[in-house]
Amino acid sequence: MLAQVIVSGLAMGAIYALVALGHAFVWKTMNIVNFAAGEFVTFSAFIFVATFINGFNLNFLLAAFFAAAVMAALGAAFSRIVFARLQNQRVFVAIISTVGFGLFLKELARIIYGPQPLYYDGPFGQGAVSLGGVMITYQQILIFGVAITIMVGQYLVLRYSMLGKVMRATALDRETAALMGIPVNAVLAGTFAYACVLAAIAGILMAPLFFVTTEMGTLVGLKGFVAMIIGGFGSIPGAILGGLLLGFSENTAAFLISATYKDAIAFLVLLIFLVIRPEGLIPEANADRA
Amino acid sequence: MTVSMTARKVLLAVFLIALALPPFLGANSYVLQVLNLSFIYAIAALGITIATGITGLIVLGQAALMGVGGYSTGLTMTVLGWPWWLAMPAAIVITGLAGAGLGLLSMRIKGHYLAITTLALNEIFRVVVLNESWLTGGPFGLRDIPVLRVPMLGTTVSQQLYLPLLIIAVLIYALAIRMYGTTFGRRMRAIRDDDLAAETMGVNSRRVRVLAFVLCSIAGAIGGSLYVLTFGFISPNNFALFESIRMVLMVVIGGLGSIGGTFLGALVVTGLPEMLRGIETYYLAAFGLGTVVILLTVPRGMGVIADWVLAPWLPEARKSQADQPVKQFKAEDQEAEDARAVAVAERLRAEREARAKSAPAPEARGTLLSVENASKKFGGVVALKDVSFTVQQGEILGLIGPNGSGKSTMINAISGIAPITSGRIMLEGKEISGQPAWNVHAAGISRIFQNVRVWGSMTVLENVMIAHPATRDLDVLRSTFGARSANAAEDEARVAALEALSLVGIRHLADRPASDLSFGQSRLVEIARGIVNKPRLLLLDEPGAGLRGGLILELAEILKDLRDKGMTILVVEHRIKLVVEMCDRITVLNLGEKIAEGSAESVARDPVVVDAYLGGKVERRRPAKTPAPDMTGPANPITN
Repeated sequence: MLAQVIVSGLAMGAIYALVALGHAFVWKTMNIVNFAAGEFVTFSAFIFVATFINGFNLNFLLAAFFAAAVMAALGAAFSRIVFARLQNQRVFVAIISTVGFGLFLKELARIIYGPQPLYYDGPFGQGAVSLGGVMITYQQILIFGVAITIMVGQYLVLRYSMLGKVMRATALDRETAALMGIPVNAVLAGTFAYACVLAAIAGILMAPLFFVTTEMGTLVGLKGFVAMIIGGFGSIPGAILGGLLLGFSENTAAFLISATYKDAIAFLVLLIFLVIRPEGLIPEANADRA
Repeated sequence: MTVSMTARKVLLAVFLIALALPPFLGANSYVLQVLNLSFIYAIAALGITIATGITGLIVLGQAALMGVGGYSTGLTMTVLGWPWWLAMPAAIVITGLAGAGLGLLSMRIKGHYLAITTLALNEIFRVVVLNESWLTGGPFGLRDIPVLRVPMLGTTVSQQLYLPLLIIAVLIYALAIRMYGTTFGRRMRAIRDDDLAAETMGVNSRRVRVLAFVLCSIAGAIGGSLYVLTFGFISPNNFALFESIRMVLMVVIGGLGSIGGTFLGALVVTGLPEMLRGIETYYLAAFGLGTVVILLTVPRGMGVIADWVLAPWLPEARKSQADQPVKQFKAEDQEAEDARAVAVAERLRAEREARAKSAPAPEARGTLLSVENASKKFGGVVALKDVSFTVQQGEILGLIGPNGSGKSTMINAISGIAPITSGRIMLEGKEISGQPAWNVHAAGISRIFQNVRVWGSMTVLENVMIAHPATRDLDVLRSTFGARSANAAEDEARVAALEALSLVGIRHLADRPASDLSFGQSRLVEIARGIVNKPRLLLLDEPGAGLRGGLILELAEILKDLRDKGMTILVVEHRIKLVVEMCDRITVLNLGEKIAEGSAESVARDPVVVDAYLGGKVERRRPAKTPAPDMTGPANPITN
């Protein structure tokens, strides 16, 4: 039974890791934390299920592609119109602005798609395979597969492609990057769009696990941020590790101690980390000062 | 258009009277209930204004603090059977303690960490209340709590409580405004604008942060208590994360940092949805978007109106901002500024010469500051290596060296913002290394920064007043409630600040917001701020950087004037001409080590110093006859 709990915890952890990765990318390039990330997750789940699956009757891959594309466009626009202007604001102004935008996005989802929870079966239905006595659902396999593919692909791109070098250069020193002819604003918008695509994938993968509601992403966005903090503020491998660790400990503790306190556990983990190891598991050089 | 302060007082009175009228004009219970609710939220949201808007500590979990207050009141009344006048103070104490804990936490965590932590605590609070139903009633909440009754004010509860709630809210707001303009408010704003500068100017940031959180919690507790006493019912949903965000909205719509604006914001956020029943689907989305738009385009929000009306009770910065568009420093002002600087320099020089005729300057007496084997490491980088030197009473000691030689690190180490790794720093035999910056300031060491760090949102006068010792230890209660001694201390600080401003020749700028000043003027404000507490030792980190001719002249005269008055000065400066002209002795650092010490003349001759500046061995065929490098010549690398 415990193995079962750990597997589903890790599956949720992979989703936190995706959101945490988005947070880490945005932090590395723009030094702002997007408190609306969870609402991007919610919104993409609605677009995916309500518009592309139920509305246009597209198959899973096409629907996922379009949902990710819409979120990328939305993210790029938000980055250029709002986020870029928050750069020279005080930290608390920037944070409150993204909180406000999150509220807007959540309400927008409710206005467009209505308050009824949506149900989505997942591309492979609700079946499961048994692996040494542990039941792993098709959806969990999909989550692990997608998460691993994205993380490996992203590592290769960042490490070896010109695009990766351009992104890293912008993150390290924006002014110098601009002087070297890198279109910094486009890179920043692109990075934010990529963070939104990660949020969209999280939303798409989560949709079959729960009902799609306007509240589904809020806590996921915050827990993704918690995952980034415990992994190491702004650290890419830290975000992945932090996400998995958070999902694992949340589910295990809920199983062993108290299921009703499940949502509080992630935040208790955060408080413990802030006291014991505020720099996180894999500390990053340009982290926010705790 | 200028409207006199009296007219604004009348306007405020009219507004408050109008606000008091609804129950007497036969407004129905529903309208009164909505207004009651907005008064309650106005009080709770004021906590966010104090912590976030005024002190810059982000609080995204105010609803939980309100909930702690609400549940404390409700439980003590139902379980223990306490009357409301015991339950409410108990709730305030309990919540205040929670706030103090949060404040202590904020020592360690700032910015994003504090935001997510306060959000997290809000969520933890909700989950705990939801699950511990043996105590809290779980999702069904606490019911049948006795509500307040004031029979003579009407028949329904909403009628009876309308005036009491309004009066409590107005009183709390009046206190907040009073606090804003006195010493504690100044310290909070200084921490928000630039906490490092605040700490070096004697603000105990730890105490101010904790107290800001306590005040924030008290406001939340009062709001929560009143909610219970008005409605007789609470459930976890009343204090969920969403409620916290709604209160943040009130604060933002009211203009972040504006006290009066928060009141209007609470009225709008609570009242508007009720008035616009038909389009309620859209109002939250509109509020969310509105938050972003207001913060980015009109950050002062409804505070523009509120602060204009409340101007008679607010410090000058808000008055002038409310009256006239922010005045930018223009090029034509530059010449006038230069002329003024030259005039001040002339006056100071004349005074000094007159003094010199009557009484010669006193001789140096004894050691004031001694730096003993000070080392400073940043990770693997050694910024200071075993540096020892002394500063004598009454002298001007120059600290020079090429870029990266550790001069600024030395200044930061002495002033307590970058503690040394080993060694010690003594002021008149007392160790000051290891002390927090505000204690170093209290011991008599003041400083100015290389890149000016004035508190932009405060007036020039307020900037200088903060550093005055008379108001430094005044606690928030005494300064807010206006005890006679506190008022006297305020007056003393004001007079001293104006004197300091006169000395540097910018008294006429006293009521201007510091953000309006030119670079040179800001530097003069920093000097006034640095000397207002009559420090034993003044640390100057490149005071001449970025200044033009006239201001350089003025600066040199001001420093000499201060020295004549007995102040000891340690100055880091790149303009060798300035150094040679005003310093009695010079200490030279290179790559974190002291390489020379002595008079300007001897240091300039020292081959080690020349090598350090030129970056290598210099061929000197006849060292004995080589004239000292021309320290003022433009071709000499030292001056560039």
